[in-house]
Amino acid sequence: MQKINQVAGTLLLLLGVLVCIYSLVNFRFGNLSSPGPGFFPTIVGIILLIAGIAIYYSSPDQSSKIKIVSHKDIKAISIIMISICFFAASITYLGLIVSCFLLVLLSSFAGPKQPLKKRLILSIILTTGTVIIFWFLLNINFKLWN
Amino acid sequence: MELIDSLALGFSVALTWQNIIWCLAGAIIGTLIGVIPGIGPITALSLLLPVSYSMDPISSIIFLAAVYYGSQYGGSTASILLNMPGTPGNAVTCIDGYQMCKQGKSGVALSVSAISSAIGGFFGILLIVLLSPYMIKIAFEFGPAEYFSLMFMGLVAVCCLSINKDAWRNIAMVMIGILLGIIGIDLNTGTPRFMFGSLELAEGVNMILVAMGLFGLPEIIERIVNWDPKFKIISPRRIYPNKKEFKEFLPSTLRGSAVGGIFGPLPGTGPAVAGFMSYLFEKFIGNKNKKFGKGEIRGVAAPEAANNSGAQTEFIPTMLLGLPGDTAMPLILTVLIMHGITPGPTLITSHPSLYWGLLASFVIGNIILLILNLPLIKIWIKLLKIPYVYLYPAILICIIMGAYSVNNNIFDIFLVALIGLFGYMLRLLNFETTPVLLGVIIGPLMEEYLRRSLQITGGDFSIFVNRPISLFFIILSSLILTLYIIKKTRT
Repeated sequence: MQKINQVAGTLLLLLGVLVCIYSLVNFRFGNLSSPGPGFFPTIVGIILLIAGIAIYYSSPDQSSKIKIVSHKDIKAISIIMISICFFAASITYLGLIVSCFLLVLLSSFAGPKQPLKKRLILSIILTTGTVIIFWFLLNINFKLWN
Repeated sequence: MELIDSLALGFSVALTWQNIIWCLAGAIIGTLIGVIPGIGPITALSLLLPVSYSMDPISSIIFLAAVYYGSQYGGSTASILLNMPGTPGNAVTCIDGYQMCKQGKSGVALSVSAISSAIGGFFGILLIVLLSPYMIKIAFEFGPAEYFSLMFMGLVAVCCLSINKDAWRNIAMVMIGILLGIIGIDLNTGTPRFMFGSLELAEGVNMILVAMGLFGLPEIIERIVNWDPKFKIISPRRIYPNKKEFKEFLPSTLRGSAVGGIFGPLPGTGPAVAGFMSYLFEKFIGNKNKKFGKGEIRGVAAPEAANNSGAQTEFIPTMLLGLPGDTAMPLILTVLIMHGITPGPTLITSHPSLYWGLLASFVIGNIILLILNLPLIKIWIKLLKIPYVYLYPAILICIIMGAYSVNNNIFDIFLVALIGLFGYMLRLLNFETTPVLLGVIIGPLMEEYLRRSLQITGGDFSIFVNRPISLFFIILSSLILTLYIIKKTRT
């Protein structure tokens, strides 16, 4: 339990230091009577740094448990991320119908096992729904077909 | 008398058939998105924004507001039946609501939550109506220093009173949010900040993307991973509470409404903090049988009343100061500005039919929602019975479409995925991410008003204590801080 605080604290401390250095190097700090663009980010960086130290030394909290990243977690998160990015990358080339169909099909693999037929039916239903709601009713400006 | 005239005007606007229909539609959509975990009011509002541009301004505000407070009603259904908050405002309801459900009292929990929500909502409306004249007077006195101090107080309240047990964790989250808000071109000097050469980031990271990435995506992943095929929702048998239960929860509902009324108007705090505070307050007042956490009916009533009361009263800073009361309010502000209406103390006099019409529509909306969530509750339970395996791809589509419709830009879809990954990592490190969003919203405003205040005085910080209203906020903030430190050192 102690460890999670230390990891979180260290990361925040690093982030704070990076933000401070980056802001001081790249932006004009200005002075109090005319604060420049670097003024606020530097303060934020300093507060982050202090928070990092405080969290590093904070006492462990009994009520919260350490989350262990399981095989299942990694599978779910990576499939969801891949399917979103796939949709974004393919939409201009494939159009809404095909991209949406593939998005549903792909993302369904993040969940528990089920027969392929069920996945395909779900993809067809949700694609139809998407076209009706988002394209027809809400006028989203994707091409339907390419 | 003036008040009665204003209310009559309001109802004459809200009771036109088209506004009633928009209010009804908003309430239904709000309840729907509240019931389904993973899709919150922000996603829904961002999807509906483009629709509202073509509508009449009053109808569009009535509609979007109903979606927002409707989601607070619906959110408790998922909290009670699934132990999953439908919206961040219903997070505390899970604690005792789910326990009641396990004991077979889900029906009572649901109806107590609906009744408390309605009472809280009406209390909030009453508060706005009674306080409006005084609030305008105070709002006219607001300069950059007052804006800054008020936001500062909001952030202090969030940091000390929010769900993360350690205030430093909240502070860190707020700062990360502020950093995300800083990304983009600095409006005062034109300096690009933290853009790392990407032109897409010039306008900054939109808070809608942050909201969907931080809450929507990690929620989906958590639910997929923890999905238990054997879990079945128990259909409630008895729905209406009996006399004894009424006596038990009604005082808590009223106390919760009052707590919500206090925390709602604080910029940045919103329903989540209101619900949390009222829960702590109830526990503080009396925990004789040690029932809190084991299905205490008061633990459902108080936060539900508070989050609805807060959801109404937070329209005060939004409309009269242009300061978002909560995460969904920037979207309401966007709609106002799109229609050429400037939020601020002059709004009531320049657009009386909008202001009072909206208030009157709150009354109608709350009545509709009480009907939707009490006699018709079974419909929503049926909806939750749909296996999550079929629901999450649909939620994913909503998030993608919502992200895209912010700027009609495909880059934003990648960005939402990236923020989702970041949010998931923050959750792994045991951080509660709600304060991040507040940082994104309030950070840029705070910077702006801080710089402006300092420019006026030539770098003299005494402006914050020399002006009476600002001093009042600073004193209150220090009071909250001192109380927090005392409580911390005692334990």
